[in-house]
Parts: sequence; C-alpha cells; structure tokens
Amino acid sequence: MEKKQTPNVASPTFLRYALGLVYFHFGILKFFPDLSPAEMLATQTVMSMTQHWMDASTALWCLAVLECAIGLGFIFNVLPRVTFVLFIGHMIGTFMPLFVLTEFTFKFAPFAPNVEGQYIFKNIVFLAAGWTVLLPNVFPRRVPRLVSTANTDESISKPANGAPMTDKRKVPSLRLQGHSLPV
Amino acid sequence: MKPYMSKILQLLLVVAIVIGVNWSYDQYRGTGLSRVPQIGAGRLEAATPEDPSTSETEGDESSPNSENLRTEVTRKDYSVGAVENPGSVAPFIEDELMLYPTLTKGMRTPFDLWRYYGRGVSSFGSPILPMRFEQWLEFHRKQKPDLMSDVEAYMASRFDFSETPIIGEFMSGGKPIMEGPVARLPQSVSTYEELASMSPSEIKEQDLFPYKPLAHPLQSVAHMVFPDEWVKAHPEHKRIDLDMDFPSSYLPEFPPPMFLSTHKELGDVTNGREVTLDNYYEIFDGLLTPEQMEGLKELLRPSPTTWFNHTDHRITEKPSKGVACFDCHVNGHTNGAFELGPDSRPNMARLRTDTPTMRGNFNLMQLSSKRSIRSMDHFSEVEEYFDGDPGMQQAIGPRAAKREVTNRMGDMNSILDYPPAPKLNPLMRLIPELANESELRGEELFHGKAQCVKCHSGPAFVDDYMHDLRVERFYVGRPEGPIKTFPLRGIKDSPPYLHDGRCPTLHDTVEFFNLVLELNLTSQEKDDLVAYMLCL
Repeated sequence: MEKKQTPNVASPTFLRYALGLVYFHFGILKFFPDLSPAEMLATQTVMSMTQHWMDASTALWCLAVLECAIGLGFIFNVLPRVTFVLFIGHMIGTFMPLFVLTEFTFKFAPFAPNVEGQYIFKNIVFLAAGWTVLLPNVFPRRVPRLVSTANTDESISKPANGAPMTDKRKVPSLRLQGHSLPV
Repeated sequence: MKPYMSKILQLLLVVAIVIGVNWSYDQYRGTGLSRVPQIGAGRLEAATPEDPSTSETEGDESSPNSENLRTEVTRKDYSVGAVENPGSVAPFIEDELMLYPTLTKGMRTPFDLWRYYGRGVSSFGSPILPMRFEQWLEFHRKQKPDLMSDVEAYMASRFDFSETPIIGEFMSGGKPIMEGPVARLPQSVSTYEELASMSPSEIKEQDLFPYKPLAHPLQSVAHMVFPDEWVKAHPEHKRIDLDMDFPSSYLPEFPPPMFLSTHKELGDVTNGREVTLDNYYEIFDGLLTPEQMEGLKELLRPSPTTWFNHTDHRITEKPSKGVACFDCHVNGHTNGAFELGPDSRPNMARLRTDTPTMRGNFNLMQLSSKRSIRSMDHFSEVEEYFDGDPGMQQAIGPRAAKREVTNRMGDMNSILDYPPAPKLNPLMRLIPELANESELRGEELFHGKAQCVKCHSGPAFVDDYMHDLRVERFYVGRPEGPIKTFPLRGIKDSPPYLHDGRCPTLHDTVEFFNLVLELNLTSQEKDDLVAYMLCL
C-alpha cells in the first residue's frame, strides 16, 4: 500500500516576510499624504476606475488599508484565504494603470513601458511570490505532495538485504502529485 | 526559535515600521520637496508663549549666532501677538481641508478645489509634457468626453440654467439678459429668505451655501477657456481637453459693442463687428491717435502663452500663434472666457477668474482681481504673459512688449468707455422722470439698507479697494482673501458675476450679498435692486 508523506511544504518563510514587509511598509506610507511615491499612479488609477466617484484622499486611504491588511496577513501568517483574496485583488489593481493610464505608463505601447510601466510590470514577480507563499495554505489539496514509491519509510533508511543505497530497486523515487506549483 | 519569540519579532517589525514612517513624515513635511506646508504645527508652535525662564536658560546656553537670533526674534514677535491678541494668529484648520491630490499635467482635478490646500513642488513651470505629444492628444481624446459630461452634471447640480430672460431687458448690443437666481438651493431649504434667516455657522455646518467658489474644470492644465461662440468664430482656440462650462446665454454678447470716450457721438464704433488685426485699421484710422492705433494693434496681436503656442506644450491640435488681449477682452469688453488668476502658486491654489471688461478702465485706480495693479501700462505688460512663468520663456519666448509699447496699449485702454446709461444723471443718480418705481426703490436700497454704496461708489460705482468678504464663514474651504471691488457701471453687460462667475445672474449676485452681508432683504427689495443695477 502506498503511504503518503505529510504534505508539509512550508511557505518560504523569508519570502513571506519580504512580501509582508514591502506591503505593510508601502501601505503605511499611503496613510501620510504626499509621502508615497506611488501616490499619483495609485490614486489616479482608482479614481479612473471609479469614474472619479472617489476622491484622491479616499482612494489613497483605501489603498493604505488594503496594503497594510495584506502586509499583516503575510507577516503574521494569519487568515491566509482572506489575505489571498485581497492580494489577488490588489495585484489585479496594480496592473490596471497599464490599461487606464496607458499614456502615463508607456513610452510606446504595448512593448516600451516607461519607468512607471516597468515598475508595474515588475509586479508579476510579486504575483508569483505571493502565489507561492499563499497557495499551500489556501488550497492544501493542491499542495505538492511527496509520494514514495517504496512501501515503507523504513525501506529507505534500512535496506533489508544490506544492499547499498545506490541500489535503484530499493531507493524510493519521489514524485510530485496533484499540484501546479512552482516548487 | 520558539513560536512566541517569532511572534514578538514580527510585532516588533511592524511597530518599527510604523514608528519609522511616522518619524520620517514629521521630518519630511514642510521641507522643500514636500507639498505639505508646516502651517498648522508651525503656527501652533509660534503661538505658544514660551516660558521666560526656559528661554533665558536656552539663551545662555546657545551661542549667539545670527541664525539663533533670527529665530528668536520671529518667535518672540509671534508670541507677543498671540498673548495680546490670540485671534490674530488663529491656527490653520488643517483637519477640514484636504491636501491637493498628487497629479501631473492633464490629469483631472476635483471640482471642489476650494476644499484643498498645500504647496507646490516648485513655483516654476516647465515646457515639458509628461508624455509624447501624440499620446497627449490621445489622452485628452479619451478623457474629454467623460470630463465634459461630469462638468455638465456638476454645473447642472449647482445651477438651473433654464435660460429664462428678463422680459424687456437687454445688454447694450441687444442680447437678452437672463433672469435668476439660478443657483440651486439645497433640498432642505425652500426659499432664499429661509436660508438668509440662518446664521453663517448654521449654513456652514449644514453645508447649505449655494454660492461656493467655482474651480477651473481642469486645473492641472487650466488656462483660457473660450466661450462656444468665440470658438466657433476662432477654431484655432478649440481646446483638445475641455470646453466652456457655461451656456452662451449666461455670457456676454459676442461681439459686444465698443464705445470710445473720445467719440461718444458714434455709439458702437464697430457697427456690430469684432475688431481684428484685419479690420482695425479700416475701422479706426482717422478716429484714434497714432499712439492709440499702435496700442490697439498690440492689443490685437497674438502672443504665445503657456498653453496656446507653437510648441508641443499646448492644448490645441495644431500649433497656435497664441492669444491676443482682445481674444478674451473682445472689442475692449469681455466674451466671458475664464482663466486662473495669475497671483498664486501652486496652480491648484489659483482662483478661477472671469475676464473683466476693459470698459472704463480709465476710472480704475486698481486693476486685476487679486494683484492690485496700479497702472494700465503695468496691466498691459503683465497681461501679455498671463501666467507670469519664466519657466516657460525658453520654449515660447520672452516677453515681447516693452514699456514704450505697453504705454500705447494703455493709451488705447484709457478711451474704452462704458455703455450709455440714459437713466443716470452726471452724478450717477437716477433721473426720476426716466426711472420707474422699482428702479427708484432699488437706488434707495443701494444707498441704504443693502449697503452696496459702501464699496460701489463714485462715477464707476467702485471704491478701488480690495475687500475680504470672508465668504469661508459659510462653507468649509480655503479662504480666498481680499478681492478687488468690481465697478457696477454697465454691469448688465458682463455676466456671470464675482471673480469666478459663481453668480450667473444679477439676481444671484443680490442673493449672494444678501447672505454674505446678512442684509435680510425681502424678495421685493431684491427685485428692486436688480432693476436698479440694470440701469447702471
């Protein structure tokens, strides 16, 4: 009978802290008017998307709350599902300037971004990192599981016939099962 | 690591960030790079009397260099003022205002800009667009429809432009004069009389004031916005980013008649034409002095401005020769174009300013709503370069009009006369035989209960002072400060009223002053005042 190993693939701790730090720090900045360098791009995007129903200071405050919540979620590793939803929503939002403020994000659309455009494009790394960190907690069933082809754990550490570990027949092969994660 | 140690470290990390950012903000605000002025905290600090014993001790310990002395003198002056007259240094009510949004040229600005404050990153402009010109065109092609739709909705929420004329009343050239008041009352108030019975603080607390300022619809660009009638005749002034927000019926006539103080016998010397570079010689040769002719030519000669010019830094699809004085002051009057007063920075702090008429400038000791310009020569000189921004000069060229030229512009300016007022005698009082009862009652009110004459006196009905009406008593907003009294002679020809046009009709103007001066005029009295002003 095939025995599954515990799917204890821990989130990369350092990556989680790094994401939390950046989110929380940059989020806190937005509580202070004129302190965040992303203020213009962020507020103008929110205002454009809300058809200017929301004013700049409200937009900035909402973004600050959102980013701090995501940051705390990463740092304290709490409410992963909520953090995941907020994170994905925020990430989608960060890419919106490429569509709603095209003239301010491209030197020549769509393959020559300006500094702001590059700043936004790079968020794809964030997206991958957050996905990697959060998904194991959000969808545990889709976590990569290490499955041994051998019968028991003992078979790994104690070869029955004293054969060397290099014997391919006795060394269990590990394979990833049922996942879509970049591990 | 034990779990609780990990949690403590996480908490410490969060707390450190919060404290660090907070500290940075305190250090950053008020510096040259910050748009947050140090007004609130600075004034509070300055207004706090120092403990004499502490001051002495500090004074003994510190070295008496000039920097310390300068700081001490300033603080001492403030603290003395604060103790003797605390109201004179009332701290800025920062909490009620919002910081100007961070944006760049072309981006939409709030319609209620009076609720914002802040400083600019620089006093100097730049001729550089934030994008390529093709992108600039495309950006405004996309933004303009939504912007104008929102502008129309906003103006419709402020005013009821029903376009109802006052029966039998016309401007000097024959255009009907609109009836008012058209400013919309809040739903909780049924009449202007009910509103006038409330105190300023009640009106402010309940946000009921119908005459809040008007902002430029796109203040990140701002500049001149010409009426539709003008743009139809001068398509080179069609803006790519926005159009006029007032209906033409509430603006002065186009083209307006032109009266000369040196040729009153001719009446409208233009015979209904717009004076241009092409026809001015034909119209005025033999009527004006050579100096006046040259001055008129200069008033008609376009010169590049911040946004109407030959560079990419423009708001017209094609390069523009610029704007002439008479493009806004058509025929020496006004076509109702508006701009921002060039008196302040950042641009978002500048007040929207309607084009005032040039008629009767010879009677004014002060020109310009905020700058208190004292001569027509100086007026011509500074108006040529409307935004007064040397940052633009390398791109569009320096000021061309030298003093000898502006003198001549002043010569022409000084013969632009008011329209006829047949019901007034030489002392500017109504001739009883020509006036009706309502007009006579209005004159009585003008000099009495309504107190208009306190500022609107003399042959031009102007006192040549700037007055601070402190209208911010009625709404949450940044104080606008003193603004020049406008002459009332010929006032029926120059709607909308007040410096920013927030009063579209004379009726609105009377309602405005009834509220602001707390006059408690009756409905009949207000009608009488309007009837009187139509005679001026």
